[in-house]
Amino acid sequence: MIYKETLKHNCPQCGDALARHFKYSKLIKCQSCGSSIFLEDDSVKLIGERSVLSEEPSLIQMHTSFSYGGRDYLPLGKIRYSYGRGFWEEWFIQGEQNQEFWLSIDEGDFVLEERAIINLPFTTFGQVKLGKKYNNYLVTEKGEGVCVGFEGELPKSITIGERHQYIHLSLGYNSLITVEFSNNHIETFKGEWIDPLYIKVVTQ
Amino acid sequence: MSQLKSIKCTKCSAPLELLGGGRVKTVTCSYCKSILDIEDEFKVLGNFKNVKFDHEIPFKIGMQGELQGIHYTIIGRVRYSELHGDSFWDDLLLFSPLYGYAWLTYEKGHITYSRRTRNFPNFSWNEIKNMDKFQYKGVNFHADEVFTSRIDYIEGELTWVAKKYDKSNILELYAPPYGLSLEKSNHEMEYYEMEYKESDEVYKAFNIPLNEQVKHNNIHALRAFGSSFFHPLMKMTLGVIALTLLLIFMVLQTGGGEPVLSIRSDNNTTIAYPFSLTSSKYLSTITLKSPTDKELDNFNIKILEHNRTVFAINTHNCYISPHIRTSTDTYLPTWEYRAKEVKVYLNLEANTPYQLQITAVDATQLSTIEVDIREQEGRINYFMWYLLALLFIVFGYIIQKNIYQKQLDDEEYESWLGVLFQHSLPFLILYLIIFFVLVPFEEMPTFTRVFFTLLVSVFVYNFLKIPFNIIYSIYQKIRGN
Repeated sequence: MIYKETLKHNCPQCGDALARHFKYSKLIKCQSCGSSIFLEDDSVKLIGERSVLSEEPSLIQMHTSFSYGGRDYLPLGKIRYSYGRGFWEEWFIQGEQNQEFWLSIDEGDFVLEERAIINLPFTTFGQVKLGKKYNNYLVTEKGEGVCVGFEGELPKSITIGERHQYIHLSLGYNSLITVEFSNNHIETFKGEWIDPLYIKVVTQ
Repeated sequence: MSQLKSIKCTKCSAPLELLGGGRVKTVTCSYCKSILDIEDEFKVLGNFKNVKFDHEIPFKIGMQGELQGIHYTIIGRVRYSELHGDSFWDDLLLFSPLYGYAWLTYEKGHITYSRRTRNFPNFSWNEIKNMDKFQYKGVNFHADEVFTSRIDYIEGELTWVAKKYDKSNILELYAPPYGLSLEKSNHEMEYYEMEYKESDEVYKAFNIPLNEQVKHNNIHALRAFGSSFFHPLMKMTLGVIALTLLLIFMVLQTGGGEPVLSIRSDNNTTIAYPFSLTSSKYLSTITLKSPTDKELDNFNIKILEHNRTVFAINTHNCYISPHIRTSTDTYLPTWEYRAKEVKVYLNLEANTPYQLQITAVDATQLSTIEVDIREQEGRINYFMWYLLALLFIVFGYIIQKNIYQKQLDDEEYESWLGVLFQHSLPFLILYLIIFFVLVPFEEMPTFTRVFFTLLVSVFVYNFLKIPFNIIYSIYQKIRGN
């Protein structure tokens, strides 16, 4: 059963009723006109017009539950980042207990992560060197992309064109920490590489 | 991700077609063989035009096929050769918009499929190159030697900038049909799961025409041993052997025989001795023994039932009444001239009054005879011939497997299990054959028989290895390996 809460405010662009699927969503899309709406404490704010992402083949579909490792997940939103010729997508996923998960999909590489508080031995993106070990963390990837669009609802605000830098820290085996740098803000996520062959769509 | 763009080669203006995803870094012009940097306005990085060697393989860039439920397009190809060896192979880069990148490795008709895995500890190359085995997903993988590969030729698109004669260090670990490839790249170790694929399956998946399909005619480290004839037969045989041994055990447990009558007579005595059996289970036996080789020929032995002869035997003939026979013939061959011991299986009935008669043919010829009658004797010699036939299948399988593994690498698979299969099992089979079938020490006490059979088995086993080694070396010469 998908959680759905009808908000007391209507879309400032088209006036239609607004709804959200995740209690803590900060950014939603009007189902009628596609406008991006930022939810503040007691008000709604139009932050942009339609953000249309081109259709690309994907194992994950919006609002279609999938299972992995015996647990079900529900995709509620996604952000697409471009890195030149290609792009990767960060899917905002709701867990069985309404937890917030992020699934990163980059041409067959899948990483499922949760927010985590981790003490890092560095503070800036530029400090980190690829291939170097920081404590037990091995830096296996360092890159950046630009947000080219988003869909659905998200637990944070984002703007198109926003620059996003990331670092992958490996703890060995499938275990992974992702450090994200954007707008002078660091966020850390902990999770694992997952094999897409084991992702199954849940039929309702 | 799966965008199709038409662009032109910056060297020769030939049209280029991009089939891969966003991670593709170089494309090679199919006309002038220039390597173009996709991320730097298709700048020419190198050229393979003058590379001369036979590089025709059944797979071509752009071919599509489904492997393990994933629809792939072949987008690139790298021809590698071993730096200090004579082997070469082609790695074909596969791309799926949903599942990303994978590899098909083609080597003289053998095909393996690989996908990247990160399910490894953060090993350093020094740790890897000294590795001799590794347990992965519960399976023990045995390491081959570290080798260095060299790029000789590339085609199509690749996800890294590859240049002619670029080298990489690789350690492969095997647990056929699976393998692991541990490769050292610039910044991190890359690990790949490999799986051997039967070429017919892959050719079919990629619609390779029959006349372009290359069949392998040699062995491959990842190809699990599986002879078309022996392998499926072996699986059935092991089950049948287990059942047969169980039956033999049951027969030995319940059909060990019970004494009914044991009597001794000589040329001066005529014996008429009554007896009866308590059970009709299994068979009854009559054993005749004489101390020297002429004495048995001087006796007539009869078994009567209500004064009717149901069994009679002497040196000239053997009669057996149809209702107690174990054979379809009424007259059976008798013992050989000058035999010292004779054992006959009969199907005597329980609770029937029988009489044993022993008379001397020539009362003046000094001779003695011992007669033993036993009931409930299981006759396992039929099982033994059957078991022998089955063991020959096992033996054939082991020989074939040994030859296959020796071809792979004499140093591989020397695990305790390998040693067990290579030596202990054939030896055990030989021992059982000598003990139960050839029975050269049957008259000895059990312990002595076990010991002597062991001595003879050791000798025969080592002797038999000589022709096998000769056959194997001839086989190697024929195959040109």
